[in-house]
This record gives sequence, structure tokens and C-alpha cells, in this order.
Amino acid sequence: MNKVKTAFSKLPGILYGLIVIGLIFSVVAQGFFTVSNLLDLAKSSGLLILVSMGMSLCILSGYIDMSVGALMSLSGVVTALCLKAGTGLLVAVLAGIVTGLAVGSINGALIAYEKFDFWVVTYAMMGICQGVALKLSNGNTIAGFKTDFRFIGDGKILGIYFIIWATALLCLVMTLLCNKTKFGYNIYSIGGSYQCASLAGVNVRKNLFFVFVLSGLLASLSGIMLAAKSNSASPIGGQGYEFDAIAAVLIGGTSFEGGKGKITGTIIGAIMMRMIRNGLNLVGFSPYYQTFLMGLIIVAIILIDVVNQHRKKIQATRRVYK
Amino acid sequence: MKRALSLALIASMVLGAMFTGCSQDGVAASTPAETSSEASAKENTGKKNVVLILKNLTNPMWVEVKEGAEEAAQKAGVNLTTLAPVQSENNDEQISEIEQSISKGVDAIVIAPADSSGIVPGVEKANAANIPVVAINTKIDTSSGAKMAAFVGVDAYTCAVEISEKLSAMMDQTGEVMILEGKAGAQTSVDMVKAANDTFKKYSGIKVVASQTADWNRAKAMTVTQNLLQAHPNVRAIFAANDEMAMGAVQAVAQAGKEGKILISGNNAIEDAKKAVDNGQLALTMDSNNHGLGYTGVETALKLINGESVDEMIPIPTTLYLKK
Amino acid sequence: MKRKVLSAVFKYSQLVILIVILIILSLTSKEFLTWDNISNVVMQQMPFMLIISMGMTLAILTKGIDLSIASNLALSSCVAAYFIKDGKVFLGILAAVVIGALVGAVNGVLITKARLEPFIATYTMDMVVRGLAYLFMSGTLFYGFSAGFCSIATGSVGPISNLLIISLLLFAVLFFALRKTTYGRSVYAIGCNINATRLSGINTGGVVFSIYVINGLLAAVTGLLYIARLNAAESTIGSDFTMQMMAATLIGGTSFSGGKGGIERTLLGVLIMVFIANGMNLNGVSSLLQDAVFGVFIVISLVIDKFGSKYSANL
Repeated sequence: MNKVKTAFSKLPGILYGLIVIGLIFSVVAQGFFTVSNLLDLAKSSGLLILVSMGMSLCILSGYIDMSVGALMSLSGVVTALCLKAGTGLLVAVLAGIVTGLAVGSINGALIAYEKFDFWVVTYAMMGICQGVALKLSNGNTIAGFKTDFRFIGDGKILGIYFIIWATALLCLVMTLLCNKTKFGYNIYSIGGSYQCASLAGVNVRKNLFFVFVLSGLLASLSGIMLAAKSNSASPIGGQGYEFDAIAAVLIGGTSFEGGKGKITGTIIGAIMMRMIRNGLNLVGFSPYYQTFLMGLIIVAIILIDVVNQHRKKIQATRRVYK
Repeated sequence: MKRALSLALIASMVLGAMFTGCSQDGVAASTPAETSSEASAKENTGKKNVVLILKNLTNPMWVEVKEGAEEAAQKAGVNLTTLAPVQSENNDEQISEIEQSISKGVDAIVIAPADSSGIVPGVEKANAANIPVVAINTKIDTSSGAKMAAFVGVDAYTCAVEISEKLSAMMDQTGEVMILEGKAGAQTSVDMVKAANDTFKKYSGIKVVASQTADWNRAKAMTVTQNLLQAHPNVRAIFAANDEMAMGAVQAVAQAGKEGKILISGNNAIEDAKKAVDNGQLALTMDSNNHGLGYTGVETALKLINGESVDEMIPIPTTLYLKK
Repeated sequence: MKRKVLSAVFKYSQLVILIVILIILSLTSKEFLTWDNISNVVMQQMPFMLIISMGMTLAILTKGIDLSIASNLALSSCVAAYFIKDGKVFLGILAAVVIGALVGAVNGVLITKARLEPFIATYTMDMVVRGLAYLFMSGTLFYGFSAGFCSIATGSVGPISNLLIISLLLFAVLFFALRKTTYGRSVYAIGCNINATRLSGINTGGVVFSIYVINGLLAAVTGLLYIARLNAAESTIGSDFTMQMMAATLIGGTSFSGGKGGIERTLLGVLIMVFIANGMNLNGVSSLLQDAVFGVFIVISLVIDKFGSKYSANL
């Protein structure tokens, strides 16, 4: 019994919040607890989850990547243009991925090696990526793809969307990366203290570089899936994702200080944000109410988490001083 | 123990917020009596459900469309739910809203797509579920097999041609003109700007000296117009792709002391734009009959639910709004 | 001598950038360097952005951030307009100030008492307040205010616009507070190391709380100026302001890691941004490229700043 108890206490508190909210919506929102809705929800969460995981790595190391939203749009546009130009599916997707890797590398090089301020670099990259996306697409949405590309967005394998499979796989990979590999440990130590990690022999710059490359990669994957899902690549499709991703990471229990938090929390945080939006829509709330309620619910969740952390701290201190 | 308590807190907060919302009259978009328990009861009694998906609910134009739709729904005794992306004109959100409506179970969808081609995946899903889709204001791209049961409205290109023709006539077909574009990449903006350019090209005396985006935004349009007036002090007319931007331009023109000397055109005929036309600040706007658009859209959807046949293209009469 | 000049140049690199921009723009567009244009930019466009960017800078100086300024601006101005449209100008102004301060106070409480990260606290407040603005307006807009009220924003004292006067007054007050008072010192100290500051006896909670309330007031003032200028109030106003405020602070050189920089730097940042926007309109730069142009300028300012500090470090 104790073993079960400790296992449960290791789960991120946010998971309980997710379950509670899910249960509430199942009761009050007609159509929520249907297979089709849950699948759709999982599909749209997938896009946010990918970007949030990349953002999670950044925040864990003590940095932020503001360029992910614009990079999503750019990767989608690049892939779409390749498809329209007649290249095969593989080439087009690779082109999109390469875009993500390239931008991520530039971010990483400037921030990790050249030690530029990460806010400024990623903010500038956001503007540049957005501008390039607009210019390449001439401000238009590029639309109308063939079924093989659309499969990425809408196709189902064994009744479950391809996006869900892909996201689940990436979640697994990222979780293992964070918790079980040296790279993961390094990130936590860099986030804890840049200097200490460096003095302890961690090649901080190299690890940091890869953090940004990964962030770029995940953003580009998300952007390609977004284009496939909407059968169109909009040069502004990813707008706002950077803020949502940061929110998902913070809701998931990661702190801005760095070095604290789990990537599983981020995944749940991202799902929760999409779930709240989904549920509110199904209940029939107008967008006026939705913005307001989203804000309230997120604040409530975070406050409860803070209270819990505080309580845990006090309990821990009490245990020491018993 | 405390954890359970805090969870109960969230739960009650969320529930409380929801029921407050549900009991508010007229502010929540669903017709006042619709809480979900009642909705499921209605399902059994056979009352029809129609969902209206708009581009946003923050531009007064769409609020008028919603009001027209609600009128038609109330007349026919049908449930109407209005949804709109929180981020204005976000295609992905609109697709999600279609999917959610299908899961919830609707009888018809009336939609103003933010992106004609981007909305196709959602429309295809509705087609597969045998739910008729009526497009209003912006068409759905049917080239790859998506089925649009009917299109209600006049497309942006035709509207813009009418506006720019009238503007050209008011300018006596000579002079410089500036264009204020909508959000970069938005379908309506692209169509309208193209229409304006095509029209102005016809007249050799008219020269388009500038075309910049003001994001459909009043404040931004004021700033952009202020700047453009510096570069082109002799401009004779300003073509704004919507009334919000036109009103911003009006302020900029007044501040530059050129009130009355520059002809400004808008679109949508929102309330304060109409007043501005009446007292001469704005040259003209287009009454896109927003109320009628919503009304006819829902009316058409209801006909389809009842199995009647409808025309594929249903134009909504629009009129130029000019000074009396 | 050369070293002195160069090190001064790099220390005030933003000023150099601004001058360079002004020179380039005056060469590419003949209407740029006219009194009409410059006064238009400085007296009509800059003030709005300056006031709220100062607020953002204050938050960033304390190693925080305030993402709710734009929606605070919207809500307070909409509620104010509700009264002003019926002629109750004083009541409207009061309402705006109260709401602005109240929202700021909620932010302050969330950050100081509930120990939330400023990012998440102000991000969620941004959603809540924006939602309230939407609910309050329900898609309509208020317009047609009295000429007296509008003249607050459209009028001028001699050749100087009211907007510029108000914004410079606020700038002067804040500048004095930040640079010449102990309050200001504690703001910078909190940004450097909040724990040390608290341990040395300063009421850090109170200072941080006051910063967010000030932000709220600045947002309310800007909101009032906007509705006076536009003669209309709508719930969507300012949805693109947050990014601009951040950019102005960044370009100005205030560090997001707190404790360094100041509103005088932000003033330069705002000037750079409005002049770039002005230049892009004057030169007909395609709407598609405008985001990219801003990005490039930020990179340039970064590079110059970096080389500057490297160079002056080697002196």
C-alpha cells in the first residue's frame, strides 16, 4: 500500500487537475466524452505538446525560445512550397525539418557560443522567420495538398490519428531524453546553475546549443503537421504558440529559474490548455467568456500548485526538525 | 486530505463559472436556456441544432451577423450556437470548432471561413457526417471535393469593385489614391485589394501611390495614414478594406488638417462609420447587410435540414452607403 | 581621445543607431526630414508607445515582466468610454484610473503574495482582463465623445502636442523616481538580487507590488489618451502592443535578466521603433517584410552592443 502511495505522490499534481477538469467536462459538456472528440482533442493537443516540449528544454536550462511560433509558420510554408513545386513528400518534409534545424542552430550558436542575450536573439529570429514566411508565401495561404501529405494531418492508423502516434512517440523520446540520459542531467544542472555545471565539467555550450536545435526541430515538426492538418500552410499559422507553450510549461510545474520541473508536467499542461478550450467550446461559451475563463482556470490551477508546493516544503521541514 | 480539498476547490470554481455563464441572458452565445442537461433533453424532443461559426466576435460586423442568425433561429424554433476563434481569423480554431460541433451532434453548419482552402479538412469531415454546410461571406474551396451546400453573400471582390468604382467616380477619375490593406494574408483583404487595384488600373488618371497594411485595426490605420500622408501629401482618396481602418484614417486626415479634402472609403457600414458618412468625414461605405447575411444563412441551413432544395449561390443585396 | 569617443559611442549605442537610422531615412525619402513628418512621429505616435513601454521596462527591471498592460489598457478605456460617451468625463477618467490600478494590484498580489512567476501571473491576468473587456463590450464599440475630452489628445500647447507633454511629464517623474530616489535604487537592487535586497531590509514585496500598480495606472492613462485620439473605444485595442513594448525595451538595451537599463534607454528604443515604422511606410516597404525589418534591426543593435562591450572591456 505504501509503495502505491509513493508512486502516486510522484505523479505530477497537475495530472489530478487534468482528470478533475476532464470529469467535469464529461458531465456538463455534451459531446466531450465521445471517441471522436477525444481523438480530435488529442490531435490538436499534439501540435502544442511538441512545441511545449522544446520550450520545456529551454526553460529547464534557464532560457526561453520566443521564435518557435514563427518557426512553425515558416516550416509549414517551406514544406508547402516544396510540395507545390512538385518535389516528393519526403523532400518537402525534410526541407521543413531542415528549416527548423537551421533556425535552431542559429539560435544556439548565437546564444550558447556567442553569449548573446537569449530574449533578444529569439525575439529577433521570430521577426525574421515571420517576415521570411510572409515573403516566401507572398502573404497568401498555400493550400490544397495531395492525399499523401494530408495523411500526416488527417490519416488514421488503427483508428487513431497519425499525429497522435507521432506525438506519443516523440513524448516518449523526449521524456527518456530528459530523465534517463546524460544530456537530460546536463540540462537540469545547467538550469540549476550555469557556473556550477561548467565547473563540474559539463560542456555547457554544446549542450545548450543542442537545446535550441531541439526546440527548433520540434517547432518545425509541429508546423509541418499543422499545415497537413489544415490542408494549408498559413504564414501566420503559428502565431501565439510561443506564449501558449510557455504557459503550458509553467502550468506543468516548471519554474522560470531553471533546473526544476518535469517534462511530463509540460505535456499534461499542454493537454490541459487544449482541453479547457475544447470543453468551453462544447458547452457553448462565446469567445468572450472563453478568454476570461481560460485565464481564471489557469490561475486557479497554478495557485493550487503553489499552495501544494508550499505545503510540501513545510512538511519536509517539519520532518527534518522532528 | 488537503489535496482533495484543493481539487474540490478547482472543481467548484469551474462549475460555478460555468453555471454563471449558462444563466446569463444574451451574453453567452448559446440561446439562454441551453444548459447541457436541457440540451440533451431537446435532442430527444427533436429540436434542431445549428451552429454558426464566424471569423471572430470582436468586429461589430460579425456581431450584427450573429444577431441576424439568432433572429432566424428564434423564428423557426431552432437552437443556435455561435462559435468564433479566440484568435481572430484563426483557421485551425475554426476546424476544431467544426469537429467539436460534429461530436456534439448538429444538424447544420453555417460558417464564414477565415481561409477558403484551409477550412476544407473540417468541411470534409462534416460532409462525411452528412451535415450540410452553408458558407456565408467567404466561399469554401470546393476544387478538391469538399461540398458546400450553398453560398450566401456577395464575395469580397465584387463588393470592393463596387466601392472602388464609386470612389473613382467621386474623384472624377483623377488623382492619387492610397490603399489600406487588411491583415497580411487574410483572404478578404487579398480579394479586396486586388479588386481595388484592378479597378483603379482602368482609369489612366488615377494612380495608386501606396498600399500598406493596417491589420484591420483602427489605431494602426491612424498611424499608417499619418505616415503615408507625409509621403504623399497630395493624395486625393484613401481606399480602406474595412470601416475600422477607414475610421482610423479619418482621424489621421483630421489631424493633418485635411478634413474634407480627402475622400475615404470603407466597408461593412458599422454604426460609427455610417454617422461619419452622414456628416461628411467618410465618403462612403458598403452596407454589407450583415444582419441579412446571418438571417439568410440560418434560413438556408434550415431549408436544407428540412430537405428542401436551395440555390447554390444566394446573393445578399448590398448597398453603398452614401451621404443623403 | 579616440578611445574616449569610441567608448562613449558604444556605451550609448542605441543613440548612435537612432542617428544612423535618421540619416539613412532622410536619404531614402525626401519627405522624412521635414518638420511635419518628424513632429508627426515624435508628437503624435511616440507618446502612446512610450508611456506603456516605460511600464514594461519597470517590470523588467525587477526581473519580472508585465504581459497584461495591453488588455488593462483596453478594459480601463472601455469602461471609461461607457461614462464618457454620456458626457460624464470626470467619472470616466476616475473609472479608468481605478480599474487600471486594481488590475495592477491583482498582478502585484499574485506575484508578491502568491509567489507566482510574473510571466504566468500577468499572462493569465492578460487573458482574464481581455476577456472582461470582450464581455463588457460584447462586440460593440463606444464612440462620439465630447470635443473637450478629445482635445486632451488632439490639442496642443503652442507647437507641442498635449500627448508629448503628458508623456514627457510621466517620463520625467519616473526617471527622477528611478534614478534619484531610494525607491528607484531598490527597484534596481531587486532586479539584481531580490533575496539580498530583502535581507538588507528593503520591503521588496511592497516595491514590486507598487511597480505593477504603476504599470496599471500607466496603462489606464494610455487607454484614455487612445480613446480621446480615436474618438472611439473597442475591446480589441492594443492586441499587438505587448510585442511592441517588449521590443522597445529590448532594443533600448534594458536587460531582461533585471537590474540593468532604464526608461531613458526605453525612450531611445521607442524612438527607434516609431521611426523605423515611419520610414517603412514612407518608403513603401512591402507589408510582408515589415516584421523581418524589425528583426534585423534588433540583431544589428545586439551586435553593436556586443562589440561595444567587448571593445570597452579591452580598453
